[in-house]
Amino acid sequence: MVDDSEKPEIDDKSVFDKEEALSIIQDDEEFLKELAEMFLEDCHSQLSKIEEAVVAGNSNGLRESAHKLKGSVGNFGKNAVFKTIFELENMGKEDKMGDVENTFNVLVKEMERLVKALKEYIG
Amino acid sequence: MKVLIAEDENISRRRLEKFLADLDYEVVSCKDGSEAWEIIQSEDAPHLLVLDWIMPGIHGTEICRRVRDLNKEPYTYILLLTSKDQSEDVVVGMEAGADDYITKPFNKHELKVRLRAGKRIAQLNEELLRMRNILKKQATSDELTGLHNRRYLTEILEREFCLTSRNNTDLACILFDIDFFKKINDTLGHPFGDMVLQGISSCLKRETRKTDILFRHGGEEFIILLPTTGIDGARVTAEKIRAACEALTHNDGTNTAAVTVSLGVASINSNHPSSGNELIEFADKALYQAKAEGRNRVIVYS
Repeated sequence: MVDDSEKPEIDDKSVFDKEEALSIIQDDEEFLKELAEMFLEDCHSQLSKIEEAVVAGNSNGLRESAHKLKGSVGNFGKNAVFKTIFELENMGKEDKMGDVENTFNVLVKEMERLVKALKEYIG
Repeated sequence: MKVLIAEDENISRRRLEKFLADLDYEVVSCKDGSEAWEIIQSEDAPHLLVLDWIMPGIHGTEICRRVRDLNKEPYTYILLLTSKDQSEDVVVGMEAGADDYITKPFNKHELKVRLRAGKRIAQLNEELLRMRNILKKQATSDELTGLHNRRYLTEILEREFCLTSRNNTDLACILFDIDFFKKINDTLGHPFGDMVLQGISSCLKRETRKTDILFRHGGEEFIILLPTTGIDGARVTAEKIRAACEALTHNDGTNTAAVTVSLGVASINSNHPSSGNELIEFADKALYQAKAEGRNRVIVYS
């Protein structure tokens, strides 16, 4: 269900800062759209790898899968997903898996918003 | 200039590919460390590498280590990609053999200048090796005739001698000089003398095999080392050279002259010298005898 009263994700800079993302790639809109499409294709499988590691309590696996997603999200700027994924990677690195499920749930929500914003951006 | 990008994360790789292609680099890219290692070992591998630190297969730091162990020429310049929070690991990466690093997501201006620095070093190294090879060739060859020089003979003579004994084969030596060469120089001038030396050298190249090693020993004296050749084979070659030199006419447009050569031949199995130098001494004695017996002839040492 789409809530029409909710403001579009594309306008929330904490989800996706278009200006920041463009500045990284010399303001090439076409190219940003190409990268966004690549991200939309890849992100689900990347997220499920992280989920697997979280469910299994595999800190090493979490560190690696989070590191990779961090690398790909970083190309769109320092948004909310980037900050959460950074926390998850550190949890894996320091083997502090106590609170990992909560953080993962936050990540899933933020990813949904980012995916939505990118889809809106591509149009 | 060709650059290898090794990055497993699709978006970062695509960004790098486009950015480098826009800067007119010829981009080769791959998704993991093992593939990168294959490319690095290949014949026309790029000399500039942009490697992600953490990759499936082989990590960037391990590739750095392997590239340095491989020690290929020309130098391979490595730029390592790290994450911001990995910056304390930079020392580890540089210790492994990386030349420089850049943190992801990379700043385009920074990457541009760091790549330029890498390109400069790779190109300087290529230029240095090119010059070294030219100088190496100059140091071992005779400028006038293009044959090897005396220095190169000293360098390889004892090695050829030892190789022959170890492989249980034979090594022959032909030592020869041009008869009455001083008279040519005195009557027709040094430029004409040089032309004669060049003519004889060309003739020598035609009458010998690719495996024979030709030297201008100094002045009008030449040496040929014939690996895996016995005394009989060397005598035949010497006679061919004698006849071919005699048949040559040297002409500079004004004057024409013909010269003959005298040759001495020796071989390890036939004369049992104790060193490479002694093999040459034996051939020299035979040459002396050829001169004494009236020149324009081949004498085999006995």
